[in-house]
Amino acid sequence: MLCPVIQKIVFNKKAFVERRLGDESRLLVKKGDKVRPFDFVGEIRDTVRQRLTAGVSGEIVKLIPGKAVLVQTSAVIVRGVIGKGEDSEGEIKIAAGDDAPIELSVIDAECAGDILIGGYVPTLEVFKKAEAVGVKGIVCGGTDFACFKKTALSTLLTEGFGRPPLNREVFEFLKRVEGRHVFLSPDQEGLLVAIHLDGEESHRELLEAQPEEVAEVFAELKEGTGVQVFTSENFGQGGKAAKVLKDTVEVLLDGGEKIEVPGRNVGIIK
Amino acid sequence: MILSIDFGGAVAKVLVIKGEKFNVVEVPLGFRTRPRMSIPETLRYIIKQAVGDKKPSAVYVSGEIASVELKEFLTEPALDPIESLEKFGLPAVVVGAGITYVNGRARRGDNLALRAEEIAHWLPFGIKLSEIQNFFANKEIYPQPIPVTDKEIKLEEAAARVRIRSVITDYPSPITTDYIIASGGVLSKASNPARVVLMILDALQPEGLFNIFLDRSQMLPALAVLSVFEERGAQKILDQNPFTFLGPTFSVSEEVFLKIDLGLPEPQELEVALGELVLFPLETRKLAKVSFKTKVQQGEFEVEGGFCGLTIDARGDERTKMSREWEEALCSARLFKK
Repeated sequence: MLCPVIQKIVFNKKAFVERRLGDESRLLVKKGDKVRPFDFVGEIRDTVRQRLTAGVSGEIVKLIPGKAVLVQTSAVIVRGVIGKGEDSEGEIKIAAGDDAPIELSVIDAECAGDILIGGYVPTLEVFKKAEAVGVKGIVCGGTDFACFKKTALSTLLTEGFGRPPLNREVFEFLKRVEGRHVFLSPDQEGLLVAIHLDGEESHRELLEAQPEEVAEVFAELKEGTGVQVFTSENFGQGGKAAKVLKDTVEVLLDGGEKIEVPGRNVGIIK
Repeated sequence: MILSIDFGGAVAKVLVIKGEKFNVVEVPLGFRTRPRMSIPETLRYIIKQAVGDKKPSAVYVSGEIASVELKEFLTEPALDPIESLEKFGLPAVVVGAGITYVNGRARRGDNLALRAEEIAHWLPFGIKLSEIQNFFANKEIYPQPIPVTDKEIKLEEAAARVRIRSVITDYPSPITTDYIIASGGVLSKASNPARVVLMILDALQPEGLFNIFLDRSQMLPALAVLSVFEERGAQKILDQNPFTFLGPTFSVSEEVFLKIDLGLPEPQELEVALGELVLFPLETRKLAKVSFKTKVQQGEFEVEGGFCGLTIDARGDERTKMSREWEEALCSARLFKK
């Protein structure tokens, strides 16, 4: 039985991060320079001098004079399924468990500048409060379609609409890199976590965690394969194929329940 | 071997024609998640899944696709699905993933998550609007899954009614044909063909005598493309009666008294009150002479029974809402041989 492949996390040796300063800025680096996250790449001379850091380790590969630089880095990309809002960046903060709601009570002034991670966003009020306190974005398993339509906050849903849990492996990975400065591209449906080229330990940790991009869009479903289910009652839940039948598959969900669904209703998680 | 492919939607339908014989191969196209295939890669995949490594002599496609690389595969440029259905000219209702087509009138790409209230109107149970919105928004991302639960099936059937009604509302002119072919996933794959009869009656709201055929293999869009380039080939397939006759329906907006003459010594009498929907068990290919009388009109007609017998619909204005009672009247009835 052929099933669609879903790749939640990809390691990309050649990822690019644009650092944009705006008009009339002065760049402090040149092409070919090696930079680290806290190196300054440019400054704006206004009433107060503002400087911009590289944000990632890597190499300057392109300059747009007076405006921006492009940094090539190695990164892990967490892939979502739908996003909205502008590109954003901030520090990862785990705000709830993989299947738990991001509660209004956990959002306070200390979340300013953060990208919040959690199972799902239960109400529009959570989005509004997050925006009000200066949260830079939310990455979660899901939220209601109506909330998603109405919020202006940069948001990435990793599974879909409703309350599907955030994929467990993605969640574990994001937990490991909590506090890391990351880049959210809702348009590209991705969250970019750059590796620290001089931090051997984190480098290894990321490499071990993440496969490179798979080429196959469909793969043969075998017993033991990790799958995600897309029937409404178990929408977005992960599990393993316990038995592959002619047109259906028995799935042992992560929660321990066993269900039988049509083969067309599962995706293979790579 | 000729391939005519309906490319649109969650599942590609490939009409494979070898001489006089034909069959339809369905190729699910996965999700709109990543990784994704390009259009030429997808087309190559569809052909491979349908016929393996065999080389077809001609490949025709309907779908909103355009790419120079497609010249490698296609005998003729890809056709717009609505355009090819219009050229084909058969009376049809097609509820596909990307289009809703009703006898030459069509709509493209309805965002059903934004039409939750209309959909709720056609559901025989209460449900939160957010659940409807989430269900259809998720279908945009994951179009391939098939409905499994009763709730999923009824959500899709309700959405089909909304989509067909929208086309009728956009182009308000009466249906002038006395039959229609129902095609597209939600219709073709309905768990019970009587559900198709109910969907068509609710959505098209025909008056008087009307006949419904079902395209169970969802070949109609692919057949329409074939007919544009190889008319005789399409005619040969039509000559083999590829559609299932679900049966005649008779719709009035008032109480009706019917005498159904099956050639037995006495005709069968049937009284259908205003607001009722009744399925009369007229067996497939069995002929009957029917005379009817209401307060304002009377007449007679001849009908041939279909898979779902003969349906008498006296619901009148009540047809614009869903009811478990009507669903049971049709869907629990006995079906006949195709």
